Amino acid sequence: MTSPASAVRRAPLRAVSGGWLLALPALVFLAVLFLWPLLKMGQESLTDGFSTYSDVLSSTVYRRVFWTTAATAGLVTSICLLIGFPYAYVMYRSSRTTRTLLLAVVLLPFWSSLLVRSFAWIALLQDSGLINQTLTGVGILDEPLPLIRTQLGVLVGMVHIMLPYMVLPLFATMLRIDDRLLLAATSLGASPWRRFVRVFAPLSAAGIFAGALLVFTISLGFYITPALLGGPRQTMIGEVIADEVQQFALPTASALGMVLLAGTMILLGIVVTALSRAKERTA
Amino acid sequence: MRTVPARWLALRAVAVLVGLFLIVPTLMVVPMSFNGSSTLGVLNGDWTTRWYSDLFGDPRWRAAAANSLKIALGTTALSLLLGTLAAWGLSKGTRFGELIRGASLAPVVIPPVILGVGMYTVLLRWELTGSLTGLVLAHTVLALPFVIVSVSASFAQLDPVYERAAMSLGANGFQRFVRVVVPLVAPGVVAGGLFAFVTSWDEIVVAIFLTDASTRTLPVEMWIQMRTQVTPTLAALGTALFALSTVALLAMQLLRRDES
Amino acid sequence: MTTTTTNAGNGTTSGQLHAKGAELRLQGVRKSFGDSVAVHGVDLDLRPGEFLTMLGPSGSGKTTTLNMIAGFLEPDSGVVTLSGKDITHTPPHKRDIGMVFQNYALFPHLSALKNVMFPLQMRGVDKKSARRRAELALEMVELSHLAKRLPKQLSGGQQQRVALARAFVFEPGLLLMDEPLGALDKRLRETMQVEIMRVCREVGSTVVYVTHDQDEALTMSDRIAVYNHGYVEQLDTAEGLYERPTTTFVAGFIGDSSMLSCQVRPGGDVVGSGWHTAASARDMEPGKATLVLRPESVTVRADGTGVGGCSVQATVSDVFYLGSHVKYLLRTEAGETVQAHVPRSEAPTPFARGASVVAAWKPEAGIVLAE
Repeated sequence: MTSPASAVRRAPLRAVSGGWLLALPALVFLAVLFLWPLLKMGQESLTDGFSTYSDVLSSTVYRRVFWTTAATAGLVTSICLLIGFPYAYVMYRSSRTTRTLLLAVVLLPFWSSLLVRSFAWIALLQDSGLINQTLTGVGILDEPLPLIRTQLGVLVGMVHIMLPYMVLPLFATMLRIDDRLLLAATSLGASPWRRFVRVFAPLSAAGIFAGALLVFTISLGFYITPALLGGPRQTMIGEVIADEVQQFALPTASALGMVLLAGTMILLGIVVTALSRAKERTA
Repeated sequence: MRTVPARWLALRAVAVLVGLFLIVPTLMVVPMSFNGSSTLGVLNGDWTTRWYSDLFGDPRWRAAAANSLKIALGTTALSLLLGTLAAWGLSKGTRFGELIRGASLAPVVIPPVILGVGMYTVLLRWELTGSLTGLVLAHTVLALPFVIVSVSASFAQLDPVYERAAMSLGANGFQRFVRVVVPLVAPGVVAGGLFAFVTSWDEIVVAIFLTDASTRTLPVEMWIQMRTQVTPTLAALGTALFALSTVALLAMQLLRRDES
Repeated sequence: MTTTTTNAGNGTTSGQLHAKGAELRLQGVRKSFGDSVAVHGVDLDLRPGEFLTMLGPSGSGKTTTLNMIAGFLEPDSGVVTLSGKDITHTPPHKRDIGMVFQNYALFPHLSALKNVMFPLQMRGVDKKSARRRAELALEMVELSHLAKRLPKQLSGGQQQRVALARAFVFEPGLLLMDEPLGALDKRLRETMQVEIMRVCREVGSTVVYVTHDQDEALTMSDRIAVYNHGYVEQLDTAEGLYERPTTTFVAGFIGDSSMLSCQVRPGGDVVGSGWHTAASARDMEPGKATLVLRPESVTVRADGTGVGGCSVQATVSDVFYLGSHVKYLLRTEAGETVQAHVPRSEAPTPFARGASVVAAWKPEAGIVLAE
């Protein structure tokens, strides 16, 4: 039964109708400068009909790039999960102060420029960089280790950037876990390890899934970090697109962009569906 | 029960290592920028501010900084105008509210390279590539979602009774917005503005596509420099940028505290 | 708008704020939300300067009615007129109605003075005279010394005063108050009741006041509209509601009362279980009815000797000593409860619990209401 009092609160008040009109300028702006460019890109990719697509998809060079991109994104995702989960778990189990500190540690690099952070890794990893200088300086190594322009360099740089995207959803999910379930597991005789594996981990599954897909999806579009920290063998699709634009091969760049966009949209669709399902379940 | 603390200690050790991994590399830029060695990454004994005078003395960096500043301020103004209005409208609960909100957030999840290509295609046609205006428009697309989210959060906390009170006291729609709504959501607007500024200030990918030699922003100039050689001057620039972001983050945290 | 501005001019010169009380009329005003009807056709007619309280339990439609007068809600049907002008569809900011909100709704970013200046500035009054009049209004609510404080630096009672000053500073013909004292503790509430009445009388506006507190309504109002389930059950003075309730809801809601079920016989005799009165309901249709008895019109005696009027056999189930009087809860043989307030002077040695007594009342003191 609805009481009239609560109905008053829900009832739209006369003077506040037409809210969408206020959102209209922003919507028009996004339509012209966001949606239209994407449509134009689609049109551009079809300048020579579908042949651009068949060229792109059958070329061994591009296939290799697609594979490198997916593999790199997959590796980054796995590493982020591997080190992000314990971090989020410690955050979850810590006192308020420690938790705030750990959160700040995640947020601070989140806020600093991606370029500056990639630069820092170059300074650390290059042949004359801090790590190699130190290692050769104390005589552990005679020759500098090849850290930069390698798969390792790309992974380190990308994990550094993507880790917050893994930790934050994980932590948010853990916060929603009802403590009483863990107490119940203990009272039912579960050892801490079994309690973790059988109760805690499954309950954080939604966060793991969301975080992993988010990291994977964003990783697919990386351009700056692999360009700076990787070598020619680590070229990802983002770099190729940028190169094609610089060589004025707009149809090819657009076709590659459409492929990347399609991949991204599909993965995001899965994330959104899964998250709304998870929300329904917990609600 | 002795195994439990041991496991917990191991976990904490992992967390500490991950934490160090997250912050130390960024922080390492700071000592590098003050070190006398002209090879980046070598820390010898003498300390200097030479790289900073190099940085601030070089007209190329100064021009890039001026471009960045103009673009970031333009982006902040434009995205605040569009975003605040939109958040206000959305807070009134319109029929397609969820759809509009979702659409306005889309630019965040699309890879910036794709946006770069798309906007390049369109702005090329409008002869806006290589112009500050073009980049302001492009950065506003990227900043708008952050402004809408931030200002919407403030609107969600805004009790509609204040608008009703203002109405009963004779304020028309415009007066209500300026005299009551804006002051009350100001913290969210300022936070959104900071978001917008930092988004534009740090943005690199779209800027690479849309700038030319005369309109290069700081990140673009830095990117070009980094691809040839990394010098201590870049460390000085990195430190300055890092300091700016940190100030912005702290300002935002203070605003949040004020609000609650 | 123009009338209030001229009023304002007069007010400033005389050193007081004065409004010309407006005449408010509601005709068949109705509002529903989806399937639930919040207000069934309500008719109200307020004289200029009258203080009317809408009293009722929460969800009875009084706040919805108020929101329709203020213009925050539009009625589904019916007409609202203010001083003869149809304002049913006028937007709120063009109505010139002062309103005090539940929890005050003071603008948190403005000082007390700036809050009070707000409505004047909205009306294009220049800053200097707006300031002077706001100071005058704050003086009237005895808050001049706190003019510079922000709302959060004021106590609940002080915020209440600012809200009041803000509502009348532009000298509106009509003041609306939506449970303005709900957030205050009892003692402060009683002080503020007197304050609000004094200020309203000084200003001279017509007032519509919403509350669910019957003491507040009885203390403050010229007339009270008792709301129940979206209807106005009765509209009358405090005395009228108490002495002549027209429904059992009003009888139960205003003051203490006992209700005994009974039958009206053809000819007007009223017969209850264990009691009857002759020909006291001559103008009523025969059928089931309820007898309402105010506790102070019931006397308690040891036996029925010398009882002139009506009486019923009962047992004392509880006795309370309340200083000036003794309150009895009596249980009749039919299991009904009768409440009696007996002055101490008439009951030097009160009856104890369990005592067998007779409850008596004069026939004209009993109110018979048809079901």
